[in-house]
Amino acid sequence: MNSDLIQRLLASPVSFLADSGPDEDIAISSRIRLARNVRDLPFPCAAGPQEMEQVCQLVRAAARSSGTLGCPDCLEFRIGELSATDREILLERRLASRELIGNLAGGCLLVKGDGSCSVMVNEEDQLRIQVLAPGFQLEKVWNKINALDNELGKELAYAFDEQLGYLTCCPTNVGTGMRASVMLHLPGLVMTGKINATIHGINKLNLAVRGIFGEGSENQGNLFQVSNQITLGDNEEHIIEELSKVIRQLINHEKAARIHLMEHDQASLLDHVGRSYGILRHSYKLSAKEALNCLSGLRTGVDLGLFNNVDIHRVNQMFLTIHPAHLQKSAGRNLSAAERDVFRASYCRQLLAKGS
Amino acid sequence: MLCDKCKKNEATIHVKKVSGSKIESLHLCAACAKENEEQGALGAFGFNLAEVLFNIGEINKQESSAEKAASENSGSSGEEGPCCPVCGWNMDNLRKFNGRVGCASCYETFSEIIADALTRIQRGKVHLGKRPGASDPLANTAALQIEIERNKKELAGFILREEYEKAAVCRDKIADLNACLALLKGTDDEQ
Ligand SMILES: [Zn+2]
Ligand SMILES: [Zn+2]
Repeated sequence: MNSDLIQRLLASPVSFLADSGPDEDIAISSRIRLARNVRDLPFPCAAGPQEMEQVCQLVRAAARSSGTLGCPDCLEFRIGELSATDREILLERRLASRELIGNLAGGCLLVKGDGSCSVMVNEEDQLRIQVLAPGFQLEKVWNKINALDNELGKELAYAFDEQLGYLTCCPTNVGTGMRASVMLHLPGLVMTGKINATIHGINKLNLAVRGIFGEGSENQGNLFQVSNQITLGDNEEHIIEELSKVIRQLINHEKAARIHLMEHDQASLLDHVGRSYGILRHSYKLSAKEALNCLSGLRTGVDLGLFNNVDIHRVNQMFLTIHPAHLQKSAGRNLSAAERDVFRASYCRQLLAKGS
Repeated sequence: MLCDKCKKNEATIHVKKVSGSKIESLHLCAACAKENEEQGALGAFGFNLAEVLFNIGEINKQESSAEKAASENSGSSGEEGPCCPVCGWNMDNLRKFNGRVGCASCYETFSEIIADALTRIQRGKVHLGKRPGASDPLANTAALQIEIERNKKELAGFILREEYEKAAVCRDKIADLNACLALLKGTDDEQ
């Protein structure tokens, strides 16, 4: 049952990567998450299996009777019933967090058919409502998630305090419970050595920046996520407006850095792009780390108009599909780390041989 | 390992920052971390603030309980401090779960320590966003008034310390909040 749903998910394109969005040359996707809890039931960290099951039932009922998420045609996953690979699929698709897939006793996930909206149940908070969209469009994402939250809120009695707002498991989210973020591809700022100063400047504005890949060690693929930190003392629209202003500046900085490279160090830029394409197109063993860095180079080349036979949305999706769980799904079997590198190389060769 | 800053005390707080392709580590003693945090330097470092806030609390507590233990030999730890009557969460849980609480009632139980953490990490003390029931996001005039008063006090402080840039930002904020309030009262009058 659950693995059929995973197949359904795999068969549909990842809309936030496959569709066009505003400023998509630099902004890959926009996401907002809302943390919500139901009154009178303990937060997941203090809850037993029965209490978590109760929350799960409440949220499913709310999703069904409100018709949001396209239920009853939405996808419902029970984390504990999924294989390890299937759990990783949800993680790689950014539908579930590491924390959620670690909750085998009570974790649950509801996903709208196209993957654009979802609710994680029994993550850090009882509900983590999520909306994802391609490109840079936080306002639209906010309108969408606000409506979704209103619908669910009609059915669920949220834990809310007059002074502190929505009560969340971690006090760092209390108030709006909102985290808005944009995923950005910033190869120009990395290559010109300006990324550290930029991140430092953004941190001072009460915003967080982190690399998407690289497990807290070194950045891979030049993908960064910028998000708000403040959740109390300001309203959602204003927080989003402030964040959007900074993202807009960051996009302009990145554009300027690319122009600077084209004007002053064109050979290095083109060499990086060309080598990246060459490796993806012709290698027979490819680690995830090397693939991510080469995909970044390829994407830069596509943005610069150097490849007219490669579609940017295909490159976007490859950032996701070269990860272990997705590779194993397309191979149809479990692969050792060494086998994965061989399969990953052949997967990239084939995709790039096809053209658009 | 010695503290990066004073090079005297043992470093007990370890912070990692990932920036671009580099990792920077900072190792501080409790005293220097607290000082840094007060100057906003740790906040700019970009990591889970809740963890560090409560981490500092823990170290202060260890120090004070070590002093206590020297004078009188008290026994087990974790029994002191508040405990939530609804879910049973105590200070040990709070530390072990990086500042997470167990239920909505914990916000009352730990109101002091949470209020302290919130002033360090948040912009204000009052929720100004949307409310359940999809009503007007700023329907609570009382909350707004509290927020305005708080900002006025802050403004007075900035002026006293001649921090004029901060004062200007604060003054704008007060003007914004007053405009919100006027808007709400205006709609109230019409009804
Ligand atoms: Zn020190
Ligand atoms: Zn509690």
